[in-house]
Amino acid sequence: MENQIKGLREKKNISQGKLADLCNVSRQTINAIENNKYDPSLQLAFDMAKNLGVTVDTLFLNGGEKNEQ
Amino acid sequence: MNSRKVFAALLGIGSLALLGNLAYRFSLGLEVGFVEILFAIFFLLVFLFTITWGSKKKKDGILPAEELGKQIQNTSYNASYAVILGVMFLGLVIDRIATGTVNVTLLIVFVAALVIPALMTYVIAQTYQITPNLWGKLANRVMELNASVSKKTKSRVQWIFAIFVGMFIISPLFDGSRGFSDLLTYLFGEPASGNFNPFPYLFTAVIIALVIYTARRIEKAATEGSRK
Repeated sequence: MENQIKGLREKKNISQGKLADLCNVSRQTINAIENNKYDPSLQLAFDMAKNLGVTVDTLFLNGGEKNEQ
Repeated sequence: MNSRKVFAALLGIGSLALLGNLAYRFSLGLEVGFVEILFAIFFLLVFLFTITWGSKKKKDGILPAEELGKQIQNTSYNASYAVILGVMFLGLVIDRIATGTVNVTLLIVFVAALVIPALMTYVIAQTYQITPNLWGKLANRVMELNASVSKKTKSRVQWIFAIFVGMFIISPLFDGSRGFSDLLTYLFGEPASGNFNPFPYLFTAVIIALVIYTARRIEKAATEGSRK
């Protein structure tokens, strides 16, 4: 699933490793999510949104513009 | 080179040596013990585990307890199931060609491998029904009981089971099987009738303790990721 995690993370000047530590996962998990190789669980999605200071919608739906039918 | 890589390298060399030794003895038509095969496979499994997963402390890889690790395991188990079915079927065919008869034990195992997943899927699907049938209710009850048992208790039960399995595997050593038995004879001499020599048993107990300690360290490293 496409997401804006990389952009938001860089805006906040947080590395993949740092975000991984905050969400209690490995850096490889964050990398896989950013590269659309893996869709996170609800829990992890909410953890990432909380640590980046945004909502889950903002992370994955780009303000609701994407994934419309 | 960090300690994990050194450990992995040693395990790899050890596995290679053990498997090479088995292959060499098998090719010469020499006796190959059940315990030796298990030891070699155990080393290989520990080596593969070490190179597959990372460590939370060193942050050098995916952890088996985190969600991506679980996803990887689910995918690999599904793929492995298909491979194992293929290998079992191949074994049946080769056995049929070689001996002219069907290996009934292998056939039973193959049929069980086909039927059990389908039955399990049916039972688990029942647990999600709005009104589950008897099997669904039983499965729900089992899952509730499983969830109510603490992780610590489960870990202890697993270790007690592992110790008993280890004792079962090690016990043929004293029946004169090759390999480890030869090592004990070399270290402590031929077993004398009448006088009891405790040193072979102490030595074996130390080996078992070392194996359990190593396995516990690996388990600790594997479960590091699940702790918050």
